[in-house]
Amino acid sequence: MLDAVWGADRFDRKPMDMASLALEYSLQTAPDEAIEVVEERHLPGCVGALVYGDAKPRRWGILYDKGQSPGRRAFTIAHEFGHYILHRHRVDEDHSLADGFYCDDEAVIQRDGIGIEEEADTFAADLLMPLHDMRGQIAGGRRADFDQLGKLAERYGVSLEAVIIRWLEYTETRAMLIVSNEGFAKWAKPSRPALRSGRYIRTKNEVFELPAMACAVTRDFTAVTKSGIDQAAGIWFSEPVIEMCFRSDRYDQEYTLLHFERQRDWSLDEEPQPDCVDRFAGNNS
Amino acid sequence: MKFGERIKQRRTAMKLTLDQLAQATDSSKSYIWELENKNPPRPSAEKLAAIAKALDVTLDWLLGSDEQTLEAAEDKAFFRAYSHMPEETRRQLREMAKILGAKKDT
Repeated sequence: MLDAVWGADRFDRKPMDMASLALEYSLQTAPDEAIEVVEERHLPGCVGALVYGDAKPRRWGILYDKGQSPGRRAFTIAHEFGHYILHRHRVDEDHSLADGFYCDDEAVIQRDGIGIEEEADTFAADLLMPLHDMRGQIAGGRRADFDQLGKLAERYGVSLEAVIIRWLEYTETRAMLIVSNEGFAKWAKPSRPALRSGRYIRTKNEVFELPAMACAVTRDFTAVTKSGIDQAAGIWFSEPVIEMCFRSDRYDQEYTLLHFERQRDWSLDEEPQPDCVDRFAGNNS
Repeated sequence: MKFGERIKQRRTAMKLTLDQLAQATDSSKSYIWELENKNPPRPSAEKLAAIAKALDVTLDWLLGSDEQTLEAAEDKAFFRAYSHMPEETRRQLREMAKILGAKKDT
């Protein structure tokens, strides 16, 4: 629909302005219960919230925590806008929503929420990074590097993390992102073909220490390690990988992208049924 | 601020590595990392006491219990839902809900 309004080449011109979209769209489609404010506040422990007043028809507001980069802010606002579009009717039925929606970084940044949080994340990702446009930029069968992904982050006005997670959701290649700090994984996410070939890292209830040879551990942060080095079998997994790594001083963490060499055996030619490993790892990734 | 952040902040201010703090407190490096980054729900009281000692702070400071405040009774509903949120966040959300709670000027 937005392609029809703004043209299919809209992302060639500029990313979306989420705050304006939320204000204008809600005013057009639900003038009685529109979003009236999108505002920055100091919200420790919370990246964004959708709140409303007691009076009816309800008046809505989106708040987002201070200090988020423009890319993170766009995703946060889109996520709260998603709650407004998808879930605002529930506040009268569901007592747990009596105080509005408030969302922490696990739900919004790592895309790791469940239920309505997951729905709001999917809404935000679909809105900001439409798959049809993204596939045109990096085809499903192609291996992506940080430079390409960084360009897409600019194209969509989102964070690098958001773009990588999105890419991992549709790529047909076997790949994995690991976000780490001081040699331990904070969280990790494999692509679906990687997960189906048994490549995943548990970070939820376990502590995963990165291999001593990983660039994030040797602190070898150069243009070479960012564009990818070969790591032999046995270092990360029982098969060789291409490892790409760089460090963000702003967030005090390292991003490692692993690409597994062999692709053919795990091509996605049919929709797989999740087995118990998928279900287990899916809850854990 | 959660205890994990406090440990990390204090440790880095004292220029200690994960390894050094682990050794000083007879813990594993991965356990210290877990405390700092994952805020596990039931940390070992014994380890926390050892860490507080090694970092030259009180256990109360580490747990942030000197900062905790109780909400007014009229905010009970809010308090329930937001009880794991810092006071500042709850205040900001309440304030906005109040603004939006005013009748629309028509």
